[in-house]
Amino acid sequence: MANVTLRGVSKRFKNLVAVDDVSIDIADGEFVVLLGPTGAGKTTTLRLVAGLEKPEAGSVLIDGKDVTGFAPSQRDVSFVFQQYSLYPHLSVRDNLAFPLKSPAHSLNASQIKARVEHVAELVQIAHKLDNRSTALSGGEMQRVAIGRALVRDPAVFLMDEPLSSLDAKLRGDLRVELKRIQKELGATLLYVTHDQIEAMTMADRIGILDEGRLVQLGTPREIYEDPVNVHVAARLGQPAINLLPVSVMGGVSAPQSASTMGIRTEHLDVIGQGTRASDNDDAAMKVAATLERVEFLGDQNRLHLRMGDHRIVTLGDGDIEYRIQPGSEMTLRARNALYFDQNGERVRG
Amino acid sequence: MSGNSAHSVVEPTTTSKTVAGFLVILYALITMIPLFWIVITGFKSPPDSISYPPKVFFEPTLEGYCNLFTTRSRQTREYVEALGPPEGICDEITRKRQMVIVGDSNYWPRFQNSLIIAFGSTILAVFLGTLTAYGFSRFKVPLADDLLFFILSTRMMPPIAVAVPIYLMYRKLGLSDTALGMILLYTAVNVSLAVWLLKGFIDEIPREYEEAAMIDGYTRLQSFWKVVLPQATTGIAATAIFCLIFAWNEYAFAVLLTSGTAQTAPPFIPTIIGEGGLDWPAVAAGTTIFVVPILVFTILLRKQLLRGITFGAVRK
Repeated sequence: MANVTLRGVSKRFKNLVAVDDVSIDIADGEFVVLLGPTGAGKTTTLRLVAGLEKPEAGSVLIDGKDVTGFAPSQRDVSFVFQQYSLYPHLSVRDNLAFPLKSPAHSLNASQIKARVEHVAELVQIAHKLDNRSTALSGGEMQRVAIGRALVRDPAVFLMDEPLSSLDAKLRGDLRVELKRIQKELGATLLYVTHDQIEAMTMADRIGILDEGRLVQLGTPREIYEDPVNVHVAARLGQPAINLLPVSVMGGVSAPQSASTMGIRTEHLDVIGQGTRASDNDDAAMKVAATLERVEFLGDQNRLHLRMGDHRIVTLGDGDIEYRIQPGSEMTLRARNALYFDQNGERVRG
Repeated sequence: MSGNSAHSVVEPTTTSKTVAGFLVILYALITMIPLFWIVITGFKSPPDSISYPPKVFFEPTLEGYCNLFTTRSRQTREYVEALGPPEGICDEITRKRQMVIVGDSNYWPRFQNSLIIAFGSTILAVFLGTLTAYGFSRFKVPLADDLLFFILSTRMMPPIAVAVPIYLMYRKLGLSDTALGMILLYTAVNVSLAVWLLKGFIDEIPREYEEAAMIDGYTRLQSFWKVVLPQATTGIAATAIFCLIFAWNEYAFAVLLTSGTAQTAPPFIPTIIGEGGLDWPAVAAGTTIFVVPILVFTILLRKQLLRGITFGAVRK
């Protein structure tokens, strides 16, 4: 395993700037997730590290060595593609053995067999080793694709939305499995996704990409609690953060330049209607709102509220729907508000 | 309504399937009549072959095949009777016509020429076509569209339009009436077809496979060999058949540019007619044998051929 460094890497496709001056330092054994919407440059960044694209500017270093001009086969990376890309003319076993049979390795047949079977156990596909790779379910194909990456011992693993085409249950299982495998191997892993749950649960650090720029890089907690701008704040959190003009809230001690405040759903407490013990020690950050509808999710309820012209969402207890009816007035109090200026940049108070 | 409990909008009814099947069989039978006629004519005696009304039932003979492979000379009855016992069936048949076999005909050498030239040019065209198509499919080639159009445009001229310049060129280069010359010429004609057909097939193979292979430690050429080629076999087979059919059947260039050593079967077969009167059974026999290789090749690769024809109509 090795560390990976991107230094001011840029890549454009005709008029489109796909990756714009991105610099990241990924430590040995670190799990870094690149998160962003479609077209943010996540996949291109990954392909630049793999050597499948050549950057216009900047350099890529793997294990301290500048590999910018190297062919993919010389970089010692492994890649899991979004669409599995299992070789359709080969069996599962041959797919897993394919990287080991490359000229870069000099393993004999029994060594290859041992490695393949070990990895097959690891990704729980051993019982399908002699199947054709096309005769597998989506989850199995994905496991083989991950297995094909794990079968070697590369400097870095690159994974491009490897779980995106799976159903929710399988995605959850493989997420846990993948994190476990990564920890076991102490692997350096650069992972691309647009799924915030994958990012939050697996990453040591998350890099938020937007329009080719690396907007913020930090631990999941840093990104969630201390976003640098509205875009990052809105990217994480389910339901999304409530964004309101500063003027809406009464008694707010907002910084001068702030125009928007962001309040996460869990920081918006219902203090009227007796759902929580009201501590009337200060009048700040309180607001009245009308309940529009309740979304029942089992362990919790999402309360959709109207506050003048604005709609906001907060969380309530699992049985709140028995106590409040839609249309009723309630009082809310906000905590830990985040402030942003007119350009969406964070303003720290 | 049929017994199907689940009514399907897209599944044809049993009646329409039967009608369609009947029509297809009928069409197949009609199109096969000429082939059938050629095969049976090959086994007719010369008088039977030109009798009117045409004979469907006749006494089969190998005379056509014997005449095809031999040259004969007419002798007096006394000479023929004075000969010893006939050697083989052809000798016997020939003697009945008061003739003796004096040697082999040119059919077999011409047939061999056809095999060498058709398969040689097919292999070369498919090889070049695959590499070119891969290049156009995967790399940013400057003026790719114009180049592809230019490649296709070589196919737009009828052979006769370029025959004279090629004839002069080949004479200067010493390529006229050589197998190499014909292989090069057929390759040149076929390579445009091969490039266009194969580019379509290779475009359909996702790049990720090669990218995966390249990351797995293979060079581009190795990835091409190990990953792209195995998946392009259908396209390559279909292309090979089309190239082979063209090269095998080609007549215009062959008649203009070959006369002796490199002459292929198509220009040779009509010359049989002129040799000993209208020897239709021999012509039919020559044609029958000529059809066999392409028939075998096509039957072997029929699945690929079908996919090649319907290519692009249905996405996988």
